[in-house]
Amino acid sequence: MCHQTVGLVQKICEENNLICSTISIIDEITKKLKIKRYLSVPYELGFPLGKYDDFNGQINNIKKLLSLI
Amino acid sequence: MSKVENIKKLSHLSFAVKKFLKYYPWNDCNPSQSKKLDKKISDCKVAIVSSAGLVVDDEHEPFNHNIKFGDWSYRVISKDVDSSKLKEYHTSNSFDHSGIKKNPFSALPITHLKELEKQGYIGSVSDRHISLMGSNINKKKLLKHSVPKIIDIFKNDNVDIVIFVPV
Repeated sequence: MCHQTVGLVQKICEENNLICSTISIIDEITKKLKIKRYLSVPYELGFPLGKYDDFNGQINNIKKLLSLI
Repeated sequence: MSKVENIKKLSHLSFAVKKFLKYYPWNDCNPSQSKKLDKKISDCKVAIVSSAGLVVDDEHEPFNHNIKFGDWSYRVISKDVDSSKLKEYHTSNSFDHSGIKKNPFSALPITHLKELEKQGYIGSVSDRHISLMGSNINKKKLLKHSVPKIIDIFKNDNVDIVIFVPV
């Protein structure tokens, strides 16, 4: 449900000229939602950017997320 | 350093939850129109939307777990928030909450954006970010009552890019 909640907000943001990029933990759902721009991550639910204490790894994932734009 | 092992996407969920997810009428979230970025990311202001159900202790009401179909409200989180003040109120029992509880910024990466601003990778970090509670199928209420106000916040703050972090 998290993917849909943020997906709905993303859709309206995009339609209001805000550029968006989304983390996707469960691609199966992300594809059903037809999310415009997303970064597929290999992590489990609850760890959207990876290990909770891996700051540099998380930074790299945010760079990847932004690079999709 | 902790390890995220035994990657669990959907396989660990109960049969009932998996069946629900399989047949749930997912919304089409493809925007009817969208703008192309007309400046460098290094000149852009960036904001975050997280679905981790985070609130600022002593400032916000917790997300309400008793609302039928889920709490559609939102919380505004300042970029200067102290991580010790962030409390998680996500209602789902379908994932491991321990990482977010230990480090709320792992689901609301404000400190990360500050670092990217320092590096010159982005232009600036928005003053305000948005926290939602992801276990929510109150879509109409979310769209009617929360999303327009969230858009206003981003517009008033001159945000260029929004990153979304579902948990």
